[in-house]
Amino acid sequence: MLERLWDKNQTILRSIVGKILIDPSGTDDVLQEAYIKVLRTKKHFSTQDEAYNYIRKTVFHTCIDYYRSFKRSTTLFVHSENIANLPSAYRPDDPLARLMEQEKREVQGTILEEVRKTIAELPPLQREALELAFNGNNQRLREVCREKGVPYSTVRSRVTAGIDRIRSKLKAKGAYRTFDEVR
Amino acid sequence: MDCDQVPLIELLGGELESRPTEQALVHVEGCPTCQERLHTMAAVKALYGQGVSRKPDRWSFRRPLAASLLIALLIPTLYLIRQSSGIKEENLARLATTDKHPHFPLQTRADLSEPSEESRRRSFAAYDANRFREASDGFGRLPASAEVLFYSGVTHYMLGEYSPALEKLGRAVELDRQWKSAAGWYEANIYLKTDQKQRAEARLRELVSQGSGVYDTRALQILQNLARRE
Repeated sequence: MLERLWDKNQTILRSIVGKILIDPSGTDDVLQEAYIKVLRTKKHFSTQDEAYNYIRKTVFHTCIDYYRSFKRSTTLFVHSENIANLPSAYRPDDPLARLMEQEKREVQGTILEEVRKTIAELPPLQREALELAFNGNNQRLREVCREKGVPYSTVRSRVTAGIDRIRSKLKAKGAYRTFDEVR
Repeated sequence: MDCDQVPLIELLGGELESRPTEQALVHVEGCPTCQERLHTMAAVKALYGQGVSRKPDRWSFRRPLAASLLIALLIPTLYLIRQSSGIKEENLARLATTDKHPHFPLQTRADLSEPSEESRRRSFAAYDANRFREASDGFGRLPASAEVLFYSGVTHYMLGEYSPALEKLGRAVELDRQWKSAAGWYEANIYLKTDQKQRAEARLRELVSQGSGVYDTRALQILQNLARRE
């Protein structure tokens, strides 16, 4: 069922990954990783909706893992046996591609560091809002806000303000420009 | 859809169902600001998952060594697992080589109904502002997705209407089991409030055994309190 659902919704899944990744050249790697995770799951699903929700969540989580891999010097997702299948522009024997890859890796390395530094400089209320929204537990933000007695709309606008500040720092560092060139 | 209404946080958490996911993606595709916000949120989420202010500790120098050993052990194992797994190689190859497909399928856009989106937004705004009666009426008029049923159940719970709350929460879980822990938590609270102690305990034990990470500690605390009172 999972394989069939994946095939049926492949365009949407690709679209999700394309929207989340700052580096579009990672789309195929993320999709491949998520596909493997989905096929290996031992979970049982009673409905198609349930199974598709699982697939979608796996894709979202794999995108976040991709950002985490920015810190590492070697590429996490592409297995060496698959390099031969990559489009020729990405093969390491092309000097231009090699240069672009090098530039891309440098930008990837600065992204998380820049984000980390900017978070530390944010006003405390914005930082707390980011922590509430992205703290990594599975509880929904709307519920967290209700339990903590903080208005959801306030948290959302503080998150947006914080994110916009980090975004402008990333832009100033040329993160988007470099990935646009790779694109 | 206005930028401020796009539920980017929920989208990134994989919390949205198919339709709202598509609606958000359609907006993001045409909006460079939201695209950049989504990228930035993903980077922030990646950092929070591993602790934003993590400092190197005195054991940190051993980690690269441990990681290298682990990788050296894992690579042959993973290779063997992959060889023996049922994943079709042609599918992997197809994914690795598929051309980029940046355009969202147009046929799904036609399905998006704006009036329904507007009433959905109003209902959730009422819920957020603790105007539960208005929220409850709004949720009642929306298509019954698992998310709407869950929040409708919580709204009835907040209004002290426990039977409809139980009914809505149950239906939400029937439609999508990802709501099971959250719904189970509210069900347990309803049973406690209506003196159905055995049912409440059963639900709380379920939450503890599921290890949901959010509700299990709280469920355990309540179970311990209940045991102390006896």
